[in-house]
Amino acid sequence: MIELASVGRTYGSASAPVTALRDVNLVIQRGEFVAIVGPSGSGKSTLLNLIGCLDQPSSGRLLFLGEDTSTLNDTKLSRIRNRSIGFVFQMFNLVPELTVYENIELPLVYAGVTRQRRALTTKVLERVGMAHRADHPASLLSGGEQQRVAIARALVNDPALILADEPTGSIDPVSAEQVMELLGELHDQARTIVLVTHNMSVAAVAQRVVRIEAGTINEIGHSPVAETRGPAAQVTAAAISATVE
Amino acid sequence: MKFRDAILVAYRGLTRHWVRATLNVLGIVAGVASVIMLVSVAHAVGGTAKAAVAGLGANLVVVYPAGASTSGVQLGIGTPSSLTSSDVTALSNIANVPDEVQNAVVPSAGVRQNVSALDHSWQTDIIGTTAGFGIERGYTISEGTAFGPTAVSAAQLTVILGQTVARQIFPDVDPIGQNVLINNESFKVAGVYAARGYSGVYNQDDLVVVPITTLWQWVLPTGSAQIQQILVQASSTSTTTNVATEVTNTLLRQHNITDPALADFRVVTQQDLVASAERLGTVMQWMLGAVAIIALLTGGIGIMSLMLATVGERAYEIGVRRAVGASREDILGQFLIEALLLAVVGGIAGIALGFGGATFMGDVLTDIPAPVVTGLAVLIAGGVALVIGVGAGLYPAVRASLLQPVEAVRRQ
Ligand SMILES: Nc1ncnc2c1ncn2[C@@H]1O[C@H](COP(=O)(O)OP(=O)(O)O)[C@@H](O)[C@H]1O
Ligand SMILES: [Mg+2]
Repeated sequence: MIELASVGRTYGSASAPVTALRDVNLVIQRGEFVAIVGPSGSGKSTLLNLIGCLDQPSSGRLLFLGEDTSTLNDTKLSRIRNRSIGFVFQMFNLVPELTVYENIELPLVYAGVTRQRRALTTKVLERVGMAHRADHPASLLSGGEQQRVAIARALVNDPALILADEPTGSIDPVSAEQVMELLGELHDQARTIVLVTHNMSVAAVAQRVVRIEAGTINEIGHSPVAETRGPAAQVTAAAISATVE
Repeated sequence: MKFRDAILVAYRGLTRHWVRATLNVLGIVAGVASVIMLVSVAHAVGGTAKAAVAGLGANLVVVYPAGASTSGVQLGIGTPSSLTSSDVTALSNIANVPDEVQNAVVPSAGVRQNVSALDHSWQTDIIGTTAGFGIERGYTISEGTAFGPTAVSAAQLTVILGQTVARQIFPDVDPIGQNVLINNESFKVAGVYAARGYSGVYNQDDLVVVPITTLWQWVLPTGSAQIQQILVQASSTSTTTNVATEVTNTLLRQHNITDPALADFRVVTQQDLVASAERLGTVMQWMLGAVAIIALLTGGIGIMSLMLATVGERAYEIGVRRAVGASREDILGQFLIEALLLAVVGGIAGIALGFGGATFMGDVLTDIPAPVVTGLAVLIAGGVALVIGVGAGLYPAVRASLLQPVEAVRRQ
């Protein structure tokens, strides 16, 4: 589904470049659950933003469903983000002044969906258990609630790929558990999931763990837990409770 | 994205930031309203200037004395008037003036002095003239009688009061037959003019009229008898130019001047005056319009800086929208529609306020003619609001659309 070929990403000016990623080669298959782990500042978010077409590589090639993203114009890239990708960020990234409902329907608005909009929005709203808060301003929710709203927003256009950047990083353990459960369910429904975390026990839910350090991928391993999918959710929940403080 | 949604998104964008939106609208409202009010006042003032000149009466030819000039150089103010009684007599013989010759050729002179009676005193214009005074301008006697040719030839101490003067010095008494003092001479009030009201800023009822000979003999200092203007009324508009030529030729003959360039008088037709009043009105309208448009432009720059600040503040929101699938055009559209909505709301409110303000000014400032809100003023103001609103919104909108989707994650 995604293919990165010697991808590099450099920030800053030519005189003072900051290399966040260097010569990254990575293939993500359709239906995979991949965890990207690494210390803070190692380039995890940078990599995820590239995969999510929020950003473009400085060098190398990134193929999304076989298409080189550097050849796609803004409209096509926006369309990919809108239809094929659902983003979940560490800080939720809702529009604070909009209501829960309005935040969730945003992708449908930009997709030009009108007739089905209410039904689709309500469906994901119920799925994340936030229907009773539909008309609340997003800013008034707790972190865990905001993250569930963000997941609903990521799901509403039924994307094939879910990208989550430290989704449990800013919420309480119980909410974190719910978020990981939801991600597990989404994977079970044949979605591709890429999860960024610096927490190994959270990464344990994934089928594959990609380790990144100082901008380069130096280890690719298979999670032992992922071999026994199904009860994974419970294992994860226990692991999270133990490690997230 | 559907058009209806684009409008809704923009609308919500404004209501969520209503303080900023209100400030924006106020900027446009102030600009539009001032354009409308200024242009309307200019239009009204210009209009009255024109009406005032037109009110001089149709088909008029006016003769003013001019200091004797040598090769075009005026000899200055204070030179004795070049117009004489024999000039008046000569002009009265011109062919196509209307039948009532006395009414058609009217000399006049004036001075500003006090008129008093009993305990009341009032400073006003004392106009010395002949029996025909004011007919061409529509002055009519409402009480008493006008003075006739004998009053002029005998320099009688008789006076006709304008309404304002009558009310000021005879608040409780019928003025007819009463005596008033002018320059310590006692004048008998023969009549009162019907009220005429203002013409522009000039109160047409604030004057008294005496025979011109009386003015010379009893009011003005000895030796300063002169004619300040002679009105000649042609019988129709088409003959006015001919009459003007004849007046000029007659006076040149009277004054023994062969070169018209050396004439010691000026002959002006009413059409000349109307045309220059019109020019004045137009110039004033453009000037005030330009001032107002500068005000509106300043407002536009304010709006632009406000919008630019908005883009900075809303970079995060823009990033989030981009992340969930908004294209550059969607963001551009959102900001442009926001600007357009502000311009439309501000424009409509500004037009309403401009109307209200113009009406209010007409009510409060009685010295100024009631402003006329013209369709052109509304059109210009509305158009300028739209252009400035959208123009000011365009640059910030482009800036907003160029923000990268990663902004959403960067600002937290
Ligand atoms: N917009 C940016 N401009 C400059 N440097 C950046 C930017 N974003 C990230 N970086 C740098 O790139 C490196 C990798 O950042 P990031 O991908 O956010 O790391 P991680 O998500 O693993 O913590 C860091 O050194 C960070 O400071
Ligand atoms: Mg990060």
